[in-house]
Parts: sequence; structure tokens; C-alpha cells
Amino acid sequence: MNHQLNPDGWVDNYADILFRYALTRINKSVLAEGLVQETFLAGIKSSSSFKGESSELTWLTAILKRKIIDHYRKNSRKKELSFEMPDERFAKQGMLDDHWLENKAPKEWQTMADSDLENEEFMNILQACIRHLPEKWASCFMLRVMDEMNGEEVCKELEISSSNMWVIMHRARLQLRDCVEKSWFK
Amino acid sequence: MDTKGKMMISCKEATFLISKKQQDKLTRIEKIQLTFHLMMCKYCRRFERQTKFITKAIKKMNRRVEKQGVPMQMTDAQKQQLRQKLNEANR
Repeated sequence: MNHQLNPDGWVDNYADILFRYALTRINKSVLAEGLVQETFLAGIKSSSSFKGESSELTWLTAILKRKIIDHYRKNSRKKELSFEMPDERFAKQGMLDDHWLENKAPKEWQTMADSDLENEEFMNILQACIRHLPEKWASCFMLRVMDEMNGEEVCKELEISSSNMWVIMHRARLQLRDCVEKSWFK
Repeated sequence: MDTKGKMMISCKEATFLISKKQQDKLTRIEKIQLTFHLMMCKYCRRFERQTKFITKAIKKMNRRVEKQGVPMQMTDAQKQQLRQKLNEANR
């Protein structure tokens, strides 16, 4: 089937879908809105390259995805994070070097259940926790976990080293876990 | 992170491996180190259970976005503005 472009219907048909797509990956609503606008404008500009092999939405989503990655890259500062940097959750010295501090260690999540995954409130809390991550961590984390992009690609897109990527994933998980525990399993 | 040749790894190292394992394969040594650590450390066992759960939830979130009815929408005013911009560009 050959698809056609119909820019007049874009806002009505796709603005919300694309906005949600962007908002799940970018922590600010005004930025997400701007990216949707850029996507539509880029779509009009490059409409001659649309071959009709995919649907309008798929095509526009691909453009938006590029825009999101470009945005991530702009924000991924050069400074590398290293594993050795101290983390307040772990003891600093002595016999128990780098072991969990009692008051920072994971608490038992008594009510953890798969039904939470269907719970709107839980998912909103998780989303808010992701928004609280430093932007660079969130982009790395979301590309790998949510978009299931492979590691090599993520490093290339964000211009970070592979070891830095793993440190970011680790730190992001530590922080997300803390946040979910504090906000949901309290 | 360099844990080569170590039998006992710290919780910081163990949580690093737990995180890595959710995206990638661990080396044989890393697997042994982690298994050994988890046998002794209830906090890291919790960390693994809980972060796996979060990973699962985030994967689900992606599909949730494609669903209608999630309260993340542009306002009518924003859409109107967007339409104007597109019209100008489309002229």
C-alpha cells in the first residue's frame, strides 16, 4: 500500500501521539512541544523524500526520534562519570568499604506486585522519577531500556564511552530505585 | 570498574553488575562474583528484584504511551499555534 502525506491533518491526527512520545523521553513539556513542531516543519520541508512505504505516523515518529537524539546529544556534556566517584549510598572506608550503608540500603517492598504495572498512579510516579534524573542519565537510560537501542548505538548517538554508559546506567538505577521506594513503597 | 581476580566484590560493584546484567551478558568471572555476593547479601538481592521490576515497568511505559487516554496532551491553544506555523511553512 502506498501512503500519502497530508500535512493539513497532522496536528489533529498526530500532535498528541507525538507529544506523548516526546514527553516520555524528554523531561520538559515545553521542549517536547517544540520538538513536535520542529518535526512537523521538517516533515513539510522534506516531504519529497517520503516514499509512501511507511505510514505518515511512522515516518513522522522517525523524524521526531532523530530530533530527540539530537537534543540528547546537545545536552550530554563531555565530562565523564567514573565508577570510582564516591556514592553516598555506600560506606566509604574500613572493612565494609563500598557496602550498603544501613540507612540507605534497599528496604523490603512489601506490596510489590505485577498489578502495580497496571496502576496508573504507580506509572505516573515512575515517570516523575525518570524526570528527576539528570538529563544525560535519563536519555541514556531511556534509549537503552525503553527504546531497547543497543549499547554501541547509544554510545555513538550520545558521544559517550561504553564504560561511561555503564556507570550512567548504574547511577540511574540507584537513583530511580530510591525515588520509587520513597514515593510509592513508603 | 575493575574487579578482575577478586572473589569478594563490594555492594557498589555488585549493584553495577546487577544493572549491567539487565542489558547485557556478564562475563563468566562476573557471573561467579555476582552469584557469590548475592548469596551473602540480602540488600543486593533486594536491589536486583526491585530494579528488575522497574525495568519491566519502563518497558511497559513505552507501550502505554501509544495508548490513548494518558493525560499527556497538548492544549487546544498549543495546537492552534502549531497549525498556524505549519500553514505558514506550507505556503
